[in-house]
Amino acid sequence: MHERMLNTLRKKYRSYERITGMSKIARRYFVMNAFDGALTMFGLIIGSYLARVSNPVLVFSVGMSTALAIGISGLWGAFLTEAAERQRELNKLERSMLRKLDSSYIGEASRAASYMVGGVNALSPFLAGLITLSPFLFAGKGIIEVDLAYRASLGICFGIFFGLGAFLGRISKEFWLISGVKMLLAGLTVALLTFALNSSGILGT
Amino acid sequence: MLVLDVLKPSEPSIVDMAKKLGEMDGVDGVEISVLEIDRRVETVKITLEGSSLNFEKINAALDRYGATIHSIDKVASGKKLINPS
Repeated sequence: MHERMLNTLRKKYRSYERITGMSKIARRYFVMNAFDGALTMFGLIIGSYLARVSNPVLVFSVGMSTALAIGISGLWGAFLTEAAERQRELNKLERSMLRKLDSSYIGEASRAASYMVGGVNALSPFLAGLITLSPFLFAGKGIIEVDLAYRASLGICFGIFFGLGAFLGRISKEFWLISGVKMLLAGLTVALLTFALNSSGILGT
Repeated sequence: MLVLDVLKPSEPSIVDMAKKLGEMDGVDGVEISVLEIDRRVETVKITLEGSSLNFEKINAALDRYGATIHSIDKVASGKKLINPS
């Protein structure tokens, strides 16, 4: 029963994919927004560290609220943008076909693509944030020290940057190590700028 | 036998469409050939053979694919096909 349902879903996904090419767009959004989420968390963690925030629950809740906000922004932004673009394409096709296509596979696939892209765009920064901040959850429960949570979170951030870069490298058939290092540079830039601003006294810590 | 002149969007492809039509009850064989390709649409000739072709269901299936029947170009019915070529 479940297998039949899964098979139907798989078939539907494949046919929608052929019509809309949605996985390519979703992949792009996934990398872009996961990177956004991880980089924001990275900045937040460094900022908290420099401000000597020692309450892990505070870092976790502020970080998760931020990740949630990026996720919601991603959902709204991507869904509305994608839906508008898809509707425009559908309208053009309808003019060529001289008929409405809302109830056809094309209309269905078009709507499914908007939902999928919106969902991916919402989930990717949220998950990146959750994974990045998870050490603070353990620190909040007293399982690990706050200092270790900071170090682990920063390590996870670098891991995510590198992983996303390597993933892009695999897509573009570029050497994954170079592509991963390129993404890592973004994190290092944030770190350098934050430290520079902090030592100049602009950040006020 | 049924021969239809159909206007369809470029996607879903004729491969998907032939597969779907071929899976329908009463349809034994499907042949789709492209007559004309435009930017977003294409005109195709669909030939269906089967022991009990149901035109309404075929029309509904084509409709789900966003296609429109321009004309019914040939119909053959009965126990023997008069001119199968």
